[in-house]
Order: sequence, then structure tokens, then C-alpha cells
Amino acid sequence: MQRILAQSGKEWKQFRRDPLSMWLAVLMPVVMVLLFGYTLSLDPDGLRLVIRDLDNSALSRRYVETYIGAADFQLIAWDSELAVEQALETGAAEMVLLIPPHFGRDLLAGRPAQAQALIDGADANTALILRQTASALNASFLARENPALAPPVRARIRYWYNPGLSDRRFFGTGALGMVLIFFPALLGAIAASREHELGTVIQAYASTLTPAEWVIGTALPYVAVGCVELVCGYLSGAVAFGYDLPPDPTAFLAASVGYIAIGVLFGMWVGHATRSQSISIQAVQLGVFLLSLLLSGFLAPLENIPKAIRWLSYFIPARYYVEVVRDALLRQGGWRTNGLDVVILLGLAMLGFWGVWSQVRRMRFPD
Amino acid sequence: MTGVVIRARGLTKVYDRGTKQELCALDAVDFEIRKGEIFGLIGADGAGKSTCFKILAGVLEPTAGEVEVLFRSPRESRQRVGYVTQPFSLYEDLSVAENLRYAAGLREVDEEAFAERSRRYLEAFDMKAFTDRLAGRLSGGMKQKLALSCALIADPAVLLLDEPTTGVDPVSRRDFWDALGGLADRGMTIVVATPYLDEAERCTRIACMENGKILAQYPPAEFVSRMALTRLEIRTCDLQRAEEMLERHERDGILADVQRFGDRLDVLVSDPVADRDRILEALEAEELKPEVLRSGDPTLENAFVATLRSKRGPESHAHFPDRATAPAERCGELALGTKGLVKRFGSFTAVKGLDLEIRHGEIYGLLGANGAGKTTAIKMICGLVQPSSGEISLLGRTKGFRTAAVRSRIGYKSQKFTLYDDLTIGENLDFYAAMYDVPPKLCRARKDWALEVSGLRGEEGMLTGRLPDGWKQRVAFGAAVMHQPDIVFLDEPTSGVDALARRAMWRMINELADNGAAVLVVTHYLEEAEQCNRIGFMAAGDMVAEGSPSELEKHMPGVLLEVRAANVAASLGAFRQALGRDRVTQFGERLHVQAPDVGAGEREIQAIAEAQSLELRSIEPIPFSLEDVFLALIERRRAASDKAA
Repeated sequence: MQRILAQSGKEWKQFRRDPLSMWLAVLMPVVMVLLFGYTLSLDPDGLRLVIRDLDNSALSRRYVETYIGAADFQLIAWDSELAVEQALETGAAEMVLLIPPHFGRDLLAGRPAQAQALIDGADANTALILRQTASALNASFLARENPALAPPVRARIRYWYNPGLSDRRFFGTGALGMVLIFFPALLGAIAASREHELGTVIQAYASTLTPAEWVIGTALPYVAVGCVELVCGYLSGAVAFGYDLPPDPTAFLAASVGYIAIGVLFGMWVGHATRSQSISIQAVQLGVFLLSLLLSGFLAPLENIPKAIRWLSYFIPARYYVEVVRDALLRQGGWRTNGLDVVILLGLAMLGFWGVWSQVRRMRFPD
Repeated sequence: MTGVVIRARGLTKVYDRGTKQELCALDAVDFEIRKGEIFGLIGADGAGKSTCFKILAGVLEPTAGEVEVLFRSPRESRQRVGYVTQPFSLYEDLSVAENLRYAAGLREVDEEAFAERSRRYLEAFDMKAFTDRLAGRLSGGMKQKLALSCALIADPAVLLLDEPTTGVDPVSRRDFWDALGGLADRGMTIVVATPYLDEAERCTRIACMENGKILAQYPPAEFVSRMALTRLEIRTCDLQRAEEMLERHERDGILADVQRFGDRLDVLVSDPVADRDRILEALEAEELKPEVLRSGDPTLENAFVATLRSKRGPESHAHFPDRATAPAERCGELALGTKGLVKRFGSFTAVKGLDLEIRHGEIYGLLGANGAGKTTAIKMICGLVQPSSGEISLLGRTKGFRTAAVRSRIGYKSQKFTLYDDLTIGENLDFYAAMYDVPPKLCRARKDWALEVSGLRGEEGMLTGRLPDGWKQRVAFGAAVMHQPDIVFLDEPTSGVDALARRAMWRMINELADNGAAVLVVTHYLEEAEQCNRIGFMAAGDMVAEGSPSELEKHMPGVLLEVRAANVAASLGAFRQALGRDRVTQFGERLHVQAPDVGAGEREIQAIAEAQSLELRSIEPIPFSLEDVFLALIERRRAASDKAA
């Protein structure tokens, strides 16, 4: 025990002595949660609309008003001389609404009237949303003008867990999953590779410190730092996006500690294997950050990943943790809903411990 | 005091076994170390010393052989072994106290013992005022003391010290060895590796290592006495000619060895009278005005050279392929001069008014401890740092030192990073030749010369990274002078090489100077200083003393007496008590005592021995080493500045 404390105490002092890692550890989770939350949004906001009304009848004006009234649109030109193709070509607008002559007359005469919506299809996600919005607005115009055409059944839609459908709440939670593996892994990698780079590991080798003591003693302070990051990240999300802890947060907390430990241990494993600070930092950046970002279901649903490589995600701890965080902070879930994910995370942490332990198990130089 | 504490039999370590990189670092080594001994491992970089320490410390598994530390396997004995590694295994971002606490925690030292021992060692090593300072901010000497304190904090029975004094100033080195003497007297067994021969003299027994083998192991005095030769120090008016002449005699078997130093020749002969007369006669016939300065035992360095040579055979004597046409005319001209050179960094003055004059054909040694201002001075001369004031003249110019024309006449070999590890030896030489504009038609001959003098003929295609450091030094030196520079700057040119390789390199350096180059050597190795024609000794930015090695020795007041006593530990205590700490130093089984003159010294020593009933075996006057001179100069300077303050 004394030896574990000696090792941990030394690591903690080294960490504290380095102002850069101190600030990184405390500030970065806050910055990342806010940054991911605010910048990553798939919800198109303030879509620009150009309207060309060649009919200019009472009906066509009412049709146009339906669009202008929708909160999603920002009207940038109405019947100006701006050429329609040009508006899309230059990227000045995402959609052009073109109402041909005789629109009102045809409609009054009971003939099918036509209106054209030209949508910039370069951004598929936005184009899709525009199409749906245009059809919905079209339908609502018809229903208003001729109640006989209103659909007999109306679905009343309520969004649970994230009533405002805020992307911020959604991505902010996932950002916790990124922060809590990336920084602990970085700290673990620096701690382990530094010992080799400066040759100080020989002190531990030359003492009777056991491999398990070395692993635990080194990892402990960094897991503690990770827990501080968890608190900082959660609090900033709570203030900015209104996160709420579930009534029983134990599953969430257990998963978090396990997840942080996975990060630290994986980092130590990389640091020990590469024996170089610069290489291990790059390895962590590429390996941990990039893979967690792409293969965890953080950005897009895992189902969107082609089957051929989707299995990879099972080896990415972030996959399980992002699930747990969203479940806990957005759905107030716990052991019942995500127990398996928590168990898998704790299992992976054990695996990480075994990995580092077997690396140093002989506590001497390789032959 | 006679129990064997460490025992190794057939100890072998092969790295990367079965691969192309296979390297036998230890080759069936046998040794036994007794309780209370200071056992020295002496050898070049790559001789196998560090591997040996790692095995004894239990952090490396031997490939074959038996090894026992404190009657158990090294791993089982780790708790009772203190280990100072090279480089020091200190956490630079932790303070002195925190480093100690970590070392104590790893070895489960209880709180009470930790408090008592850390206080004791911090006090003994004058570090009490620095407990909160970060280890990274300590000087080399302080780091060394901290590393030793960390190793001692668990009160070990065996202390392993892997080159503990590398990069440490001479004053700290001497303090350190005094401390080791005290520990050994209390029964601690010490194994130590050192590149310094004066430190080797302070061991109880030394083992001379090469290529993973122990060539010989004896007490230092026995190394010398087994040679059964006499060493003559001879001064002549033309060392170069005298050396060439005597080398012919050496080949004819008339004398055992001849070696050129800065202002003398060392000649080893078997008959101190007849051979001496023969040599003097021969030198006089050539009108070389010989003068025998001293006649006595060979040095430890002589002994090592002989030991290595007997295993390795004669070394090559290749000459530089195309000598300068009229070297003699250039000799004596001023090559490099400075006047009142000053460099200030903020409020700190690194160099305080340096005056230097180095002439063509001269080897000048700039000596001083770390931080004395040597490096800053060199950087100013090379034009890398702007002087705050003062003048520099280089090859007749006073400015524009960074132009290609000037730089192509300068050779520079820094202490490290001169060769690319991932190029072959030949490619490295080609690169340097191209960089310094060696004419293509001379390239082949000079490359061959560089390979020849490095002892690497036919190994052109070998990757440089695979060479041991000592060999790299020689190739790097060859590369640095291939363009036949007029001024050569050498930074610790022979650190990390063995005695024989060092001689080969100095032969090359002497040849450069004989061909008219001016050579400036920056070093803190005594062995290198002795090779210089003139030495300038810097301390705290000032030139404290300047002159040839023998002129410098005159700065030393009094005489030095070597005392052999039956009970070294008791005698050391008694002499120190009566004469003061500074005047008595332990060298293994011998004591060195400073005295105003031989007669008075002998009387003093006899009186103390009688009063304490100590049995003395012999008292003999011996010459001061350059190291003694420097220590005295530093001490005198420190006393003067204390008085001024």
C-alpha cells in the first residue's frame, strides 16, 4: 500500500507541476462539451429563400405568405430582378419558390395549379429537410384554403426526452464521451512514455514494486483527474443545455469511472509500447479520438455505417459510453435500461488493466 | 570484511539474440566482490558496464551464467541494493524532497527512518537549503548528490553506481569520492563505473573491461606494479621529432612505449638506468636537448593501454594523405585571438574579459567546470553568439566569421550529434566531405584515411548507429577534419573512448597541429588537458591560470605524500582529525597527504602515527595531478571571493 501511495503521490505531483496539463484537464472538458454542443447541429436554421411570384394574384400571395410565415425561412428576395438560377448557383439561397402565371386562376377554376420549388441538393440533409418542409407547407395551405381537403386523421406528435429536439443537448452529451476517453488516455500515455524516455522507470524496476502496484499507482491519480473532468463537463452541460442526472445515477457513475479507467490504461499501454512521448500522443490522437468520433454513434447512428466495418464499433468503448450518457442524461435511464453497456465498460477496464499489467509484469528491461 | 557479497560466474548477456542486431554485451564475466570493497568497472562506452549494473540491480535478466547478490538472486535482493543509474534516474519536475520521498516510498522506508536519513544526507551533502528546488534546476554535482541520497535512503548493503560522476565538476567529484570512502569504511559494498582514471585509483580493486569481457582485475597499484616498467617523463625542444625517433626505437624493441603529451614525452622502459641513458644519448645525438623531468612508476593509463594492446594487437598509424605543403612556415602565426571578450546575459556575466591567443601548430586546452563560461566563449568565437564587448580575430579577420570562406577553414566536432545514425559510415563521410567542399579528387584518399585511423577499414557500408559510441567519436573526428581545416574546435573529443582509442585520436590531433592547424580543445577531462601544449583554466567567467601543464603544476604550493598504512580507515580518520579534512584524501588502499615540504610532512605523519599507534608501510612524495592543481585554484578563488564579499 505504501508503495502504491508513493507511486501515486509522485504521479500526482508531476501532474500538478505541469500547468499545461492542469489547464487542459479542467478547461478542455468544458470547452469540448460546449463546442461540440454548439457547433455540431444538423438542424438547418435560417434557410434562405428566394420567391418569384409571376402570378401575383390574391391566392398566389396567400401561398407565398404560408412560406414566409414558417419560422424556418429567411426571405432574402421577393420578386426582385435576381435571376432564379443565379440565386442557387452563387449559394445566395437554399431554395427558390417559383409561382407561374395563372396559378390563382387555375386554382379557382379547380384545375391543378403548379408551383415549383428549386432546392440546392448539394447538402443532402438540408435538401431533404427542405423538401419535407415544402410539402408540409403546401399541405397546410391546401387545408386552409379548402377544409374539405384536410386529412381526416391528424397525428399529434410529442417529442420525449428532448422536447425542443435540440441538437445541442444531443451532441453535448456525446461530447462527454469524447472528452472522458481522450484526455485520460493522453495523460496515461504521457505518464508511461515519460518514464521510459527519461529512463526513470528503472527506479521502479530496481525496487520491489510489483507490476500491479505500478499499474494501479500510476493510473489512480489520472483516473481521479478524469473524474474531475466528468464533473466539469457535466456541470457545463447542465448549465448550458440543462442536463439532468437520473434519479439513480449509480449506473452512470460506474460507467464513467470504468470508461475513464479504460482511457488511462489504454494510454499507459500505448506509452509503454512506444516509449516515446511524441509518438504515443499522436497514437492516442489518431487511435482514440478519431475512432471514437467516427465509430461510436456519436455523430450519426451506427446503423448508417456499412455492415462490413460496423463490427469494429464493438471494440470502441465510446460506443457503449455514449449510449449510457444519453440514456442517463436525456432519458433519465439507469441499470435497467443500460446495465449491459455498463458491465461491458467495466469489463473493458479490466481488460485494459490486464493489458498494461502483462506489459510490465516482469518489472525489468526486455531481453 | 572478507565475506564475498557479490559473485558472478560466467555472466553473459546477449541482446537481440538470433537477429541481425545480435550483440554480446557481457561475455562470460567472472568476479567476486567482498564486503566493504569499492570495486571499479573501467572501460569505454559499450564495454558492458551498464549491462553489468542492470543485471546486478535485478532489472535485466542475464542470458547465461550465475550471479548472486547478498547470497540471493539480484531480484530477491533489490530491497537491500541502492542503484544510481546513468543518466540519473531523477524526476526533474519533482523537488529534492519529493524525489527522496518517492525513493523511500518505493522501498517502504518508515516515516521515522525517512525523516532521520533524509536529514542526515541533506546535511552531509550540503543540500539543506535546496529541499524545495526542482531536481531539473540543480547543477550536475547536486543532481549526483541527490541521486546518491535517493539510493542511500533505504540504507542499502550494496551500492551500485553507474558512472555517477559524468558531467560533474571536479570539486563535487572529490567530495563524492570522500563520501564513498566513508560508506565503504562502514561496511557498505560499492560497485562503481567511471571513465576517469584518477577515480579508478581510488577504488580498492578495478576490473578493466572491453567488449563485454573483463581483461584483468587487480588493485590499482598492482595493475601498475605488474607491468614492471619505469616511466620517464622527458622534455625536448621538438616533441614531434623526438616522438618519431623514439617510435622507431619502440618498433626495434628498445623501449616498451612512447606517448606524447602537451609538453613532454612519456617513455616506458624496463631498465630505469641503462635504458634511460641509451635514450638520452640517442636524443642528444639528434640535438633535441632532452631533459628527464621525472622517473617513476607507470600511470594507470599506461597500464590500461598495455592491457588493451596485449589483447588487440598494434594499432594503425595512418598519416593524413596530403600534408600541407609548407606547414612549418605557418606555425607560430596567430590563428585565433580575443581581447577583453565579455558576454552578459541580463545581469549575469558569463564571460568576463577573456584574452586568448592561439597560434598555428598549437593545441590549446580550455578547461573549467560546467558553467565556467567555456561554451559561451566558444560560441562567441564561432560567431554563434554576439559578444557584449571585446574583439575577436580569426584567421586574420575581425568580422564575417559566418561566411562560407571562413567556415570552410574551420573544423568543429561537438560532443554529441555529429553523425547520422541512419546513414552508413561511408555515407556520413561523403556527406561531410561534400558539405565542406573537399575537392572530389582528394575525397577517396581522405575517406580511406578517416576509415583507417578509426580502425574501420572495409566497414564503410556499416550503419553508423550500430557502432559503439567510442568508435563513433573517432569517425566523427575524422569527418570533422577531412577538409584539412586551419582551426579545429574540439569539444571533449575523447569522452567515452578507452585509453588506447584515446591515444589514437590524440595522435591524429597532434598530426593536425604539426601540419599547421590551430587546435582548441574544450574539456573537463584531466586526461585530455594533459595532451594540450597550453592550458587556460576558466572559473566563473574568468581565466584563472594559463600555461603549459608543467607550468601550471607550479601553482601548487607544497608537496604531495602518498602514505600506505595497515589500517586505511583508522589512518584516514586520524590524519583528517590532526591535519584537517582538506589535506587528506583516500585513494583505495592509499592516502594522499598535502604538506608544505617533504621533510616536515614526513615528520608530521610519523608523529600522528606514533600517537595513534598506527602502522605505516611507506611514505613517498608523488607529483600533483592537474586535477589537484585545478582544485587548489578553485579553492583559492573561492576564498578570495568570499573575502571580497
